[in-house]
Amino acid sequence: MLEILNLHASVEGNEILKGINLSVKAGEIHAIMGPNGSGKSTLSNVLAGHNAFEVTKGSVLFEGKNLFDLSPEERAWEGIFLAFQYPVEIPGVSMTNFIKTAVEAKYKYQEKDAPSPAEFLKMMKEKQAMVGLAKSLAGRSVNEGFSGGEKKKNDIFQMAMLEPKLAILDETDSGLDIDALRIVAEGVNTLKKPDNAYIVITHYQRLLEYIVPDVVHILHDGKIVKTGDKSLAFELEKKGYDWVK
Amino acid sequence: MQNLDTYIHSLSEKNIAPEVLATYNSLDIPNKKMEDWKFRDTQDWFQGAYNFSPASILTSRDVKDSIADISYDALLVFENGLYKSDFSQPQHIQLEDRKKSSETDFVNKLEVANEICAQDGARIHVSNSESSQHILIASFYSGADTYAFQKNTVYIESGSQLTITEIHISLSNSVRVNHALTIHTEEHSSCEYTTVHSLHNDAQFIQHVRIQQEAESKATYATFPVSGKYIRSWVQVDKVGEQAHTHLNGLFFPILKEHCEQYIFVNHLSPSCETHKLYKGLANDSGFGVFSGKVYVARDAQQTNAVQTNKNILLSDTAKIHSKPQLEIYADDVSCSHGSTTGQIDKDALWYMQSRGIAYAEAIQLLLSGFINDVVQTVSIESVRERIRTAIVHKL
Repeated sequence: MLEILNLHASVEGNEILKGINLSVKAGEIHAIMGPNGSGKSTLSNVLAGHNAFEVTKGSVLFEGKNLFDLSPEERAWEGIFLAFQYPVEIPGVSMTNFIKTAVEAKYKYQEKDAPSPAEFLKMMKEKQAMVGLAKSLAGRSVNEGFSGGEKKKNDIFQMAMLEPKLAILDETDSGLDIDALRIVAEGVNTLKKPDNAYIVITHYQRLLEYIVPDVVHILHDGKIVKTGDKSLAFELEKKGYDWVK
Repeated sequence: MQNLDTYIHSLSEKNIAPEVLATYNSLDIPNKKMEDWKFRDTQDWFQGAYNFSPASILTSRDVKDSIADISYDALLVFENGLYKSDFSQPQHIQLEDRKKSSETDFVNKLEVANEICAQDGARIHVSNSESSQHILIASFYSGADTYAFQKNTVYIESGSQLTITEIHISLSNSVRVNHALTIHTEEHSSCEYTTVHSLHNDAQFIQHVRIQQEAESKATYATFPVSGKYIRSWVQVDKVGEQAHTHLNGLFFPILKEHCEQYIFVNHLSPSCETHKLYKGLANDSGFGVFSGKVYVARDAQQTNAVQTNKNILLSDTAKIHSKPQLEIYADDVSCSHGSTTGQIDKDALWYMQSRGIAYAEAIQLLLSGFINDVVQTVSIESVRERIRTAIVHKL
C-alpha cells in the first residue's frame, strides 16, 4: 500500500528526515516511536502533504501512485488520513458543514453518489457514538471550545466518516486521559479492516497496549534505526531512548 | 451642474434656519489634517460640479428587481432622497412631516449640509406597537453626476418595537449620497436598524447616524457596506437613560479600489448600560478599510458593561485596514474591554481542511464564510441575512 524509499525532507533548510525506508501493507498496523525531534511529526506531515516541508530526495508510492504528484486534498481523496497531534480550531465553520463538505468531495472524486442528507445524519450519529463524542456536534464550530480529549475523539470521528485506506495517527495519545485513550483506541480497532492500514506515531508505549501493532519502528535523528515486533516497544519502555542512540 | 456651496446659497433663505447656515459657513471642509478624516479628503464633495435635482427615472421594475428576495410588512421607496409614493406600501406606518431644525450640534460640515439640503426621507414614528414589524426602506440613487441628500428619522415610543432594513441601491455609476439617520428610543422600547449598501463601483456615500436611547431601551444598528467606491459611516450613540442596551455590528469588505470607513462612538452617560460592538473587516486587492471605535464612559455611568471587538483579515499584500479601538473612562466601577486583530487567513485551519479533502478554494470559502457568520447572524430578518451573505460570498 505504502512504499517509502530513502525519503529525505527538510523544513526551512534544516534536514529532518535523512533517508526513511518503510513499507506498509494492507491490514497492517505500524507503530513509529522515537524521542522528541527525531522526525516523527515531520514524516506524518510529509505524507499528508504539508507545504512547509520540502522533500529533497527519495520517493513515496501510495497504491502505486507517486504521492508527491498529489495535493493534500487529493491525497485525502485517495485515502490518506492524518489525525493531528494538535487538531485545529476553526471558529465559525460548523462541524456538520465541515465534515459534509469533506465527505462529499471524496465521493465526487471517486465518482460516486454522496449519501443523502438522511443517510448522512444517521452516519454522523453512529460514528459519533462509536468514538464517544457524547455532546451533539450539530451547531458547534470545528474543535472550538472542545476539550483536549474531545478534539482527539473528533479527529477519530472524522476518520470514521472518511474511511481512509491509510490512517496516520500523530501522537493521538498526547493529552488524553486513560478513559479517553481507551475509547479512542476502541474506535480505531473497530475501524480496522483487512484492507486498510495504520501508522501509529507515539512517544510512549502506553497507546500500544490498546492498539496492538504488527511492526514497531524506532526513529532516531531522521532515520529508522530499529524495527521489530510489539516486544520492541516494551523493551524501549524499559531501557529508554538512550538505548537506541 | 453646480457645486455644493453654490447650491446651498441658491436655496431660498427662508428654508434654512439662520443658525444652521451660520454653522455651515463656520465649519472647515473635512480634510486629512483632521483625526477622523486622515484617510480621505472631501474637497470634491464641496467643490465638484453635480446635479442636485435630477429627473426621476425609477421604474417599478427597478424596485421589484432590487427587493424581490426580501420579506417586509411595509415598504418605503425613495429616489435621490425623495419619497416615491407610487412604489411604496406604507400600510399603517405613521410618516411625519419634515421639521425644520435649528439644531447646531453637528459633527462636521457634511452633516450640516445634509440638514440644509435633505428635503425628504423616511420619518417613522411608532407608538403602541408591541409586535415588531419589518419596514423595508429602499433608497435608490439615479442619474449622471447626481448629488443626493436624504434624512431618515425614527422615533419609537415607550414600549414599542420596530425592525427596519434600509437598502441603498445605485442605478448609475456616478452618484454621490449624503445620508443622515436619527433614531430615538423611548423607555422600554426597542429598535433594530440594518443598513445594506449595494452601490456601483464609482458611487460614493457618506452617512451620519445618531442614536439616542432612553432608559431600558434596546437599539441594534448594523451596517453592511457590500459595494461602492467610497462608503463612510459615522455613528454616535448617546445613552441618556439607565440600562440602555446597544448592539452595533458591521461587516466591511473593500476589494479592488474600494474604500470603506466605520467611525463609531458610544457615549455612556447613565449607569448600568450595556454595549456590544462587533465589527469585522475583509479586504482584498487594493481595498482600504478603517475601523475607529470609541467607548466613552462618563463619571456617573457606573456599572457600564461595554465590549468592543474588531477583527480583520487581509487577503492580499496591497489591501489595508486601519483599526483604532479606544476607551475613555471616567467611572471606576465598570467593565469595558476591547480587542482588535488584523491578520491573514489562518494557514493552520486551511491545512487542516485540506488534509480532510476540502479543496483549497473551497476551504478558503468555508473559512471566510465562517469568519463573517457571527456578524451576519445578528440580523434578525432571515431574508435580509441571506441577501447579505450571498452578496459577501459573491465577493470572495
